[in-house]
Amino acid sequence: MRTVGTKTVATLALLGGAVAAATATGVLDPRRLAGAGAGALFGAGAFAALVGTIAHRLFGLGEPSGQAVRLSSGPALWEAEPIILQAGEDGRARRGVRVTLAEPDETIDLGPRAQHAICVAVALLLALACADARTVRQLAAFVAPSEGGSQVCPALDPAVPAQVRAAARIDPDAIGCALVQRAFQLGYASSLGDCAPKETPIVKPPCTLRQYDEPPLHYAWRLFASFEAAARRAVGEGDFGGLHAFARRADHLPALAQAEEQVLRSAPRADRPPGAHTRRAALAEAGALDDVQAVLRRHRIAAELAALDGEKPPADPSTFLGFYCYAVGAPAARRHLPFTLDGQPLEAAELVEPAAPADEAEALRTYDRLARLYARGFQYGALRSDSGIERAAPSGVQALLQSDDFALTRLYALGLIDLYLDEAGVARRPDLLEVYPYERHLANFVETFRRQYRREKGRL
Amino acid sequence: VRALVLLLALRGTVFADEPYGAASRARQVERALTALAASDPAALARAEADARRLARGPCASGIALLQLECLTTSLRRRCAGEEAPARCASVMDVVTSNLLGEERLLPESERGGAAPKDARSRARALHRARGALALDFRLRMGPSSSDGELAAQIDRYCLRSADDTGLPWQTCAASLAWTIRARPPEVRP
Repeated sequence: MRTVGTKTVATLALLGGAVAAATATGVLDPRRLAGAGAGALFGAGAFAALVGTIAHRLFGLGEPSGQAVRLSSGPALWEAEPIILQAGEDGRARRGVRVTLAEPDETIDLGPRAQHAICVAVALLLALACADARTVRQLAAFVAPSEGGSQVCPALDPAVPAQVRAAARIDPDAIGCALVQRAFQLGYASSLGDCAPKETPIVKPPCTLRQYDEPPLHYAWRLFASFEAAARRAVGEGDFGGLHAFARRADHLPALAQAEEQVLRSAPRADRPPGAHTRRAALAEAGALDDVQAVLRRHRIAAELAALDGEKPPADPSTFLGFYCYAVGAPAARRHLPFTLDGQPLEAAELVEPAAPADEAEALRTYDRLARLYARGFQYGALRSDSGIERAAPSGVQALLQSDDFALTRLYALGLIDLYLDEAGVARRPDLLEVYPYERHLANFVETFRRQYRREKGRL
Repeated sequence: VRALVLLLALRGTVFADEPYGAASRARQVERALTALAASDPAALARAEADARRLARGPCASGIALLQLECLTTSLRRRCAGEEAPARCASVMDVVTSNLLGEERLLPESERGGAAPKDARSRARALHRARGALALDFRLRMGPSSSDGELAAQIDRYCLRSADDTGLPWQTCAASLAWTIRARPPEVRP
């Protein structure tokens, strides 16, 4: 049975639903349409043309469906197709009706113009359901407001002076004016003369609400401009002021880091007896002693300056000085060796291996130990592995890779083995190691290490 | 000595030879190139549709190893009934590898999320990615005079470029073989 494109199914279902809802709610009642007025109908039409076209482009309805559905009954001929709906007597029924998801091959699909027309029709029904005479009135009132209110400045009357003046009120306590005021009240005098109350203009701030004759676009632009100005003020002076200060300080960070950061590695030869070399001599042999002392001198000066200024002392040198020893050829050990250099207590981490890795599998385990040497809290487990929590059974992978038919397909099983977690026999297969997806698992291992190192040291 | 012999025997039973060594890989790629060149576009389109249907239907599984087992078994069964089973196997291998490697081959922006991308847009992105890979391959490796030489070049290129392209060897090799040798299907109006 031929298939129908999913886009066609969706748009036809939407149209059917919209027509049914409109009929049920009386949207298409001729009397209601006649009462809506020409303005409302025109607005609904314009809305439908615009929104329908946008929806048509947005959902890609001009292009054929990427998937299709197949309605079939009787014996299941397309068992490979996932079933969406099924009404039958038993499971993958020999009888019954089912809807399956199929590849779009010889699919019945509506053309782009038909899809466009349906979109516009649905949008039109939606607009007609919402638009009536009141809607049009309110829209018109927004475009051209006719009266003032809390959102619009009051209309200006040419007869009213620009400055609203306070009503004249006679002051009964004015000295020497009692007689004149009495004569004015009784009608014997036409004016109060010098005793008239002084009119003081009331100066109001300019109205920043929408002017009664202001075009909507101008009002919108004015709102946007005021928002932008407020945002600029906030960023420059207000709550975001610290951001600029931080950025200014951050500009100096690379220079500071370059000056201060010294990661030193020394690997004393294991054939020398312990204690024969002092830490200082080991550093000198590694060519790092001068650099370390320079860093410590700068740190001391910075601490003294901070104390004089009453500021917070600089960070401890151990946060930017690291000493790591990796030795081979002695009994396995892992220890931390405290030492003092120029009065500054420091610590070196040491890892001793009895022998260099004999094969790839041992080398992989050494990577893990070295990573723990540099970052104590480093852990690499199934949760961090890119091969997923449910690890593939090594025997299954080995069995799959034993054959060489469909070799390209079978090689995808290699990606299921994370060498840095469990080499599963792969490390002993040079042919598999050549095509092992290091770009996936090694990259993940290194990235995990970098995250932990940055967390502990605050830098890389 | 006995332990060494036992170890060698044990190793020999588990891994009789190196089916994925350089020579084997080059032979696999050469066979794929020959098979693709000998297949007409309609057969290739059918192979693609079948592989996709298998991967999404009967062989769809959250456990990747099971999916691979199912795919290889189903492909073997499918090709057993063909006129040229070896050619069918090579073509289906390339097609299935392409299918499994699509996510890696696509740029980040085109990779599938919760909502599937439009099929045509995804196909165009794949076509562009494969074309770019083939162009880079040709620029770096130069011309070749035979399928055997081309296969060896593909093998070397895919080994060396993995760090730059981020593609597994099999994805790279299948993609190159397909782009270089498969005749494109006729475009439907």
